[in-house]
Amino acid sequence: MNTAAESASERQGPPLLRLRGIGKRFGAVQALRDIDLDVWPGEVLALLGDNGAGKSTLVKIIAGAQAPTSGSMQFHDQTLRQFDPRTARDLGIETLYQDLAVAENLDVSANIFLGRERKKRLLGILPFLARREMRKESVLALQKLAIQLPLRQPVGELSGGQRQAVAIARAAYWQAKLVIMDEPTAAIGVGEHAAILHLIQTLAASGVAVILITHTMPDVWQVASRITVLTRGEKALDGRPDDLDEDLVVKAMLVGKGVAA
Amino acid sequence: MNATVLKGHSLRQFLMDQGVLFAFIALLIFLAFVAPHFVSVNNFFSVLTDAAPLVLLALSELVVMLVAGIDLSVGAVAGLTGALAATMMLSGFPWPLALFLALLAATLAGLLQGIVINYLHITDFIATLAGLSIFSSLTLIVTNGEPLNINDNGFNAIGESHILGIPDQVWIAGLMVILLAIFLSLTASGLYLYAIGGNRVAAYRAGIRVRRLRSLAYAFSGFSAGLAGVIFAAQLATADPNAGRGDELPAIAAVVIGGVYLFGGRGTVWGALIGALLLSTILDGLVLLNISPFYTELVEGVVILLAVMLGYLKKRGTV
Repeated sequence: MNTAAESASERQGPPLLRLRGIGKRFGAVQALRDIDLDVWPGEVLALLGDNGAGKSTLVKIIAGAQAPTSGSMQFHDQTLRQFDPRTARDLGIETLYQDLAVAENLDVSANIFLGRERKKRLLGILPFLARREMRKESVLALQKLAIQLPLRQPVGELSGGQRQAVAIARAAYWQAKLVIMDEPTAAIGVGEHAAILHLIQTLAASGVAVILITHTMPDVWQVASRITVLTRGEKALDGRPDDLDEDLVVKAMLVGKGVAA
Repeated sequence: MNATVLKGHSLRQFLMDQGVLFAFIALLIFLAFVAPHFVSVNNFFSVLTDAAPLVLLALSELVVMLVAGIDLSVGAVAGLTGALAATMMLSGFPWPLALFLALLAATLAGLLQGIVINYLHITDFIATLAGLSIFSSLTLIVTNGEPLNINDNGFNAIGESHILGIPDQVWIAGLMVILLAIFLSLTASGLYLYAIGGNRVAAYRAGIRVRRLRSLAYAFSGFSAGLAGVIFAAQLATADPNAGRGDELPAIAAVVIGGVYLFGGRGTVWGALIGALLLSTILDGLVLLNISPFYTELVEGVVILLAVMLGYLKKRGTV
């Protein structure tokens, strides 16, 4: 259970993602102010905050969907400036949105390979899809994460948890280094909840850094190796779950910096 | 998820999916009984020949509907293509060149609408409604509102001659069916059309060039509609300024009957083909049974409603 937390406490080498003084202003509104954040490989960082606290903005900045107005970002020895979501993905930053992650009318392997299909040349010229090969690879990718799914059905016929698993398997298969998950357990039944949390731990144990946005407090203590609380655009709290309790975290979400122990 | 359950599921699914095929076969049998000379090889080909333009227009609608669009201009593009080909031949162009340029114009007409829709963000419905209007008017301008006689035997042969005993029109539609089926089921771009229709945002995030592919879908729609226009003109050896007028509705009806989902991401060439054959044969049947043409659109409307209702019941039954 504590593997993620332990590997985080070891923290070998430099952080995978390093944010310094990140700020974002929308006209008169200061959405983020002076955020410093380091994320190490293999750690699950729970990003908490009330609605409007700046979580989404921060995550969008990391994913390349929005540019910060101030501050600097480093990912894996590289300074990131003016990059788009595609570049982020190529670098290994994968964002899993609640429902936008998969094409419901395609099957599991089509989704895992979407946009990066394997092809075989028929008659030496025509680039046709290597469906069988992709399906085999998908089976392996799912096995690695111990996921069991019906492979030939459109993903839309799968449950919410299974769809989420497809998106996670895709990120893992393409060797994402940092996976950002926005409320991965929000639309999921009780039975699958535990499976998704377990999947997050498996992912982290394989060396992937995970940023987890969630409102479900018990999840945080179950999988997170670190908790960061944003309040009104500022970092209000940052610590290990063992050193924090739910009261303190909730207070930080409401009150802000002052509560930090 | 055990194998037998899946098998049973897919067999039932198959029977459900092929309902339109069974309806088509039942209709053929029915027509064979009520119109005895209906059963002959010649008539079999005449069913296919009559259906060829509608099949091509249905392929147009299939491709744009897969990317969650609709093309109301297909009939008008077909009419314009015939008019352009005829005009060029009348001014001395050799027929293959006239044919090529007319089809190029049809493709560009489609592409232009695709660009307006995807880069200027005009709704599919409105953009192609404008296209319908503009291309119909261009046809009248080009033909001066009069039917243009086509004297070129090479061109007219498209409407008359046979290769290996099969009419040219059937070859054209058949080849398009096969090529499109291969494209959609075996290539990455074909898969992307489904992905875009299924979840546009997910497709975009996966790095698929959504706007470009959607625009090209409309270019294909224009091309296929152009082929239908060529067949119309060759069949009658005339570019009728009214050719293709109103044909967008049967084309949309055909794909809806064939199980193509109006809101994108679901549908097959097979479905569009069978839908077009069924609808075309129903319309032929009305003629065989001496039913007044005033009933044609009434029947079309009822068939569309039935097809959509059956599709809905099917979905509710299986989910």
